[in-house]
Amino acid sequence: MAIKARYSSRSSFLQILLALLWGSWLGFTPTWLTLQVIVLFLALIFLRLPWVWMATSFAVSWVTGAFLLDPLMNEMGLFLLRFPGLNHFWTEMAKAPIIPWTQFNNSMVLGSFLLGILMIPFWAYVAWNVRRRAPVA
Amino acid sequence: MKRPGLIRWNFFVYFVVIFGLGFAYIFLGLDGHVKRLIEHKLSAFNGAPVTIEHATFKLSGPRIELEKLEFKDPSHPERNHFEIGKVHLELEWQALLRNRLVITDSFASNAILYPLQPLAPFDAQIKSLVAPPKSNSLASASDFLSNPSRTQLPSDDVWTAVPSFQATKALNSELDTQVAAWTKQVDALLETDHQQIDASKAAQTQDSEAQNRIILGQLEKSRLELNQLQAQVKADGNVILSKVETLTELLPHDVTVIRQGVKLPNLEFNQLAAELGAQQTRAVIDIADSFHYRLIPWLEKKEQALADAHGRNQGTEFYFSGRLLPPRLWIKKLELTSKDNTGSGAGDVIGRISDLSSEPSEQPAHMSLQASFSKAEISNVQLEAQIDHRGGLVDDRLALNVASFPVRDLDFVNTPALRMGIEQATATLNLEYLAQKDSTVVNAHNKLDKVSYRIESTGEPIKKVFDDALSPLTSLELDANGQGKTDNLQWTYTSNLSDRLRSALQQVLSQEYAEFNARIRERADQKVRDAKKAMETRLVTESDAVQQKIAVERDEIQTMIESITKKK
Repeated sequence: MAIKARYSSRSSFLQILLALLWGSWLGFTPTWLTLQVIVLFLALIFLRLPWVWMATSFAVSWVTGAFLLDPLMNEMGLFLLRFPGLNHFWTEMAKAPIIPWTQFNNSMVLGSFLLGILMIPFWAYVAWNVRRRAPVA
Repeated sequence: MKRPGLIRWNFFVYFVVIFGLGFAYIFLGLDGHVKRLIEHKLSAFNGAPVTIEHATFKLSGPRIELEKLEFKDPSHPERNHFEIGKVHLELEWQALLRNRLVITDSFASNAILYPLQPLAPFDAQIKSLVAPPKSNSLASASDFLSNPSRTQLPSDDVWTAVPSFQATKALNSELDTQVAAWTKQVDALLETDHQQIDASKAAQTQDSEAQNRIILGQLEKSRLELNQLQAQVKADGNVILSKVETLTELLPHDVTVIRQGVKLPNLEFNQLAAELGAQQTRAVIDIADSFHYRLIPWLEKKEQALADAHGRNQGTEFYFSGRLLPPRLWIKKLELTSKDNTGSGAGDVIGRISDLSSEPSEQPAHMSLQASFSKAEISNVQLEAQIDHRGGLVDDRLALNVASFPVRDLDFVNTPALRMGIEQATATLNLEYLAQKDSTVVNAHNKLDKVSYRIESTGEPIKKVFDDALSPLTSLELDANGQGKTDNLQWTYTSNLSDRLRSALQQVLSQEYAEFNARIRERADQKVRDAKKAMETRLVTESDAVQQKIAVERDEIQTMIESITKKK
């Protein structure tokens, strides 16, 4: 009740959207790869609604396992990393400091990140609905 | 009520906590993480687990220090085959920030090579430049020679496939048909004759001259026909008899069929040199296998599918290369030293690696090693290697010379009937490996001195054969040459051992075969004789029965003719 009261009365649309998006990124990426750790730290430090992104992460991770989304994300990552036109872009990214530690060169990391991006409209719709139906403070 | 902002700006406490955890990880957990990571990468290279007793990552430098690296033997993972006491690696920050490992300077010391162990038998899972031999004629011959029932003739079932048996069966069938035809003809004639006889008896009662003449004529005709039939039966019988005589001509074919069924070992032993050479060659070019199938693919990765972990697909890692991008792994300089002055078994080693990188297309790698390992009884090892893929042209070379190394328990044959091979010997090795473009050439010259053989057999004769053949041979030369497409080398082997074994086996097997052939021929001859006798007896019996029947009938007709003639 306290959580509901908290988001319903005080949380903005963007806070809910960010919590959902972060949660989905955490849930999609394979366990304990560098990007997931960075995303987790950023979420712990900056994000509000910790229960929302944690629950989303758990749910999305479960859905990924239940509906076998790993192959889909892997294929998306493989497609992008093998795409000849993007080879120069990936090389430039590999040259930059720190960025290679995100392990963008891993097909699962890139595929899950992309799937998270593609789900922004869906999460925006969910966040907008949650916000709209919440009681006015 | 004031709505809070998008970001939790009072994060300082959380920030401190998180960074506190980060620092705690660096001071408490990073060394363990680095240790596990290096163990994982080296295990992938080694093909068997690699363990590190202690690893330290120091931010100053940065540098990594490793202690007691133990490399397990891929063919026998329960034992170590190599150890390095201490490794010190100086790293480059610029590369580390880009998740790449550039080792600017490094040294390794206290290397221990454990005594060489025999390789496991050929395994399809373990890739090798040496293909397993296509045949195992030595094992087949030894199995044959050690089998006490090797000279027993095959059972009667096998003899049903020989040509003479099939021909006898066909002749029996033909005789059946012939006898049936004779019987039918005789029966038809007898029926007519009986009608004639009945008619003649009736005519005698009527006493008609004209009628008697007609009947007499018909009886004469019947007698003539019976004579003809008897002649035909005799002629047909002679035809079948002549066919029975031809069964003897099938005798050589019978022997051939029986010999094929017995599956005697081939006397040519064309693949014997390969059978003997492949195992030893695989053992001595193990280092070329490691170079070709482990080191180069391990370094030169473009894509690598990661194994699943924690129930999740871990994906595929891609490695990008560019002019200003350091290689994923680059050992600019590695000095390997070890001095055997403690008697602990560490060998004398001086080695140097320069520019060993995951991008041999940019930096050609050179490796040199001079070593002696007293514990492993290996002296004066000299290794020179190069990996150069500049300009997209492969030019990989490896030259290995070993002045002396021990050979133990090298089995050429290991079957329940026979274990034969080298128990121990002292060997020298000259190995050259050259890979250019997509073709590879491997030359291995292996000389074994002070050879003592192991010949353990359940059968005494075979033990004697190998003892007699091998005991004078105390020095062996095994040469192997492989060339062709990289993953499909065509090997030629030469060895004084194979020549000697071949002639010994050919001699003893030829003698065995000659005796065996004689016994087969004798049995085949006996069987043909029996078959002929049985056929002839049956033919005579059947023919006689038919002729007897004809004779009886003819006598009766003769009697009738005489009685009619007297009356007239």
